[in-house]
Amino acid sequence: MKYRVALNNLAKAVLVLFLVTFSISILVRWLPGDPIEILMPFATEEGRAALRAELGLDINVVQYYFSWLFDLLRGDFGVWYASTGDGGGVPVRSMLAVALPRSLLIMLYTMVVSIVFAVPLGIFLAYRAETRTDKTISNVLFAVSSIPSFAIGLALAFVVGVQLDLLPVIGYVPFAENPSEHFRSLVMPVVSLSIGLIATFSRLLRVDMIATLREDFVTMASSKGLSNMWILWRHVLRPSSSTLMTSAALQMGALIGGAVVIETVFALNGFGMLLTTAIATRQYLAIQSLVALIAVAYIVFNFIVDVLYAVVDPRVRGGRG
Amino acid sequence: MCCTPLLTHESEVGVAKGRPGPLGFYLASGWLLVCVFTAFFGDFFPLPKWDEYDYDNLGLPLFSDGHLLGTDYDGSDVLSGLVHGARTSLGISFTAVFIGSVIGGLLGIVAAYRRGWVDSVVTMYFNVSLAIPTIVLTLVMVALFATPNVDDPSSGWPRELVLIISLTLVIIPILGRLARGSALSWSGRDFVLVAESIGMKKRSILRTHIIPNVLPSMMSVAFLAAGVVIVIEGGLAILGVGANPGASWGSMLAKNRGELAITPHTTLVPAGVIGLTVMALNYFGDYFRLRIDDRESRI
Repeated sequence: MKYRVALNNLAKAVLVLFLVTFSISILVRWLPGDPIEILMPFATEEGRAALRAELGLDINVVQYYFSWLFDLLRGDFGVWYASTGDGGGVPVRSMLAVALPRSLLIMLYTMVVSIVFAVPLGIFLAYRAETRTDKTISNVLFAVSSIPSFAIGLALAFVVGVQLDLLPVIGYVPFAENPSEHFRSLVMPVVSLSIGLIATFSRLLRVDMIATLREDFVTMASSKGLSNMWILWRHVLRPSSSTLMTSAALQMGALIGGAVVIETVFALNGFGMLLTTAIATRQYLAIQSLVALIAVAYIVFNFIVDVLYAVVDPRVRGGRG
Repeated sequence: MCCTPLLTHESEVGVAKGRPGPLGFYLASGWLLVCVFTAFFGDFFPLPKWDEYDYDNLGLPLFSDGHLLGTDYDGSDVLSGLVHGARTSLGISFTAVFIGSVIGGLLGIVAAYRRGWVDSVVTMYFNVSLAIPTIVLTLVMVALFATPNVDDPSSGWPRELVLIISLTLVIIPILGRLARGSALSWSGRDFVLVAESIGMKKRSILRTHIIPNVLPSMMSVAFLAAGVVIVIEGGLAILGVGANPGASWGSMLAKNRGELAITPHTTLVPAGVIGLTVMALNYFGDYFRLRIDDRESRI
């Protein structure tokens, strides 16, 4: 029975993926402007025909879609065409190898930082529920959660980067090159993305913790004489974290969008830069592969949540939830 | 610390939700009123034109003579920009959310009430569009419609129109899914069963019982969505595909972003205005949700 639900979800996910990528290939075809003109403005007729064939512009959209799909499944993300005139280009995969780790690291750091700060804060607020401290902090968090990350990023860049001159305002340093500079170059991007998430996560955790605190097993634990801290961290946190985890996984998807903008603000040349450039320069194959990658990531995150649900909350695992 | 009572058995559920107080709501309403008023009547304010360049006064600081919020690097007045930007940013946002909620709401409600294949198709459409992050979807849409043809630079649609269309496409699945969920929960209520059993037509049940109950919860989310749209518009401007330079709040800060070290206020003031507006919209939406929760708990 459980397998059937899982398979059903998997089938749905695959169908969604197919529809996303297929509609992208139709959309990309509609982009105005002949890509051949942009990619090879001074090419000969033979050169144009060759590029047309290579880009799959001479076949219909269905054939084109499947040839792209099979290439992708073999790990070939297509070619990034440069207007050198000879139709030469760089494999999208090698560009991804540079850009993707940057964006993934930013997202990973942001998630880790957000959860590390949000969980103690959420527990503290639930513990102090309805006191003046809780009300003040909760109000501030509500306000903070609605400030867009780029506004925080720009303010940080000005105060910390320009006025105090503490951190570099633009540029990315790989970890292997110089670990301390690597972290210094990512502090501001990660902080600007994290602040909103910390506020969102701690508010969610606070509400769920307060609800769990009303349950009988807490009364039981309390009357056994266990300390408040032990009860909060060991008994109440786990069953209260399912909303937090759903939100975290959904935010991973939203973070892709936020990270794209923040990358641009801090000139980190990550995945977002790649995608915007691909769209601006009509890199058909690249656009399609990049968007497919995002959609896969998004769907995988959602799939992981369903699994994590069962692992984290024993009530779901036992089928009693 | 050890003596603080841990249990909150006796507390009321509503209080524990961490809702903001009424003060925030009044401030939010005040700010939104100012913004909406500005968007409508900005033309009558005694200000320089937003796209007029005062070449004698480049990069004036805040509170300068004749330019209350200073000027940017090519001499356009920051306050006039904000006033004009209110019309563009709020116009784009409210239009997209309004059209998106009407279309999404209808789709969601019909899907929930008809069920069957209609429901499957609509839900699949919602899921597909929600699987693409909003910024990517709008990026592709703007590139698709707004970029002029290489041979004919005047081709392509106006940026604002393209932004409205793409952001509407973002809003439809968000509000549509909400409307579907809400309509599903309402159509199982007793009064709907009663209406069905006395032979009321489906169409009139929808009109008299389902839609009036779904609308309030859509309203509260619509305010949040308006905030989300303003943020996306700002993000798109930073990525270089927003409204024309300086025409909206987002494109104001995108235009002046490179001058952060020299004229920081030309970037930070629009950023602050965006932040305040989004915050106000969130307060407003949350206030509505609180009212609805109250109302529904009494039904």
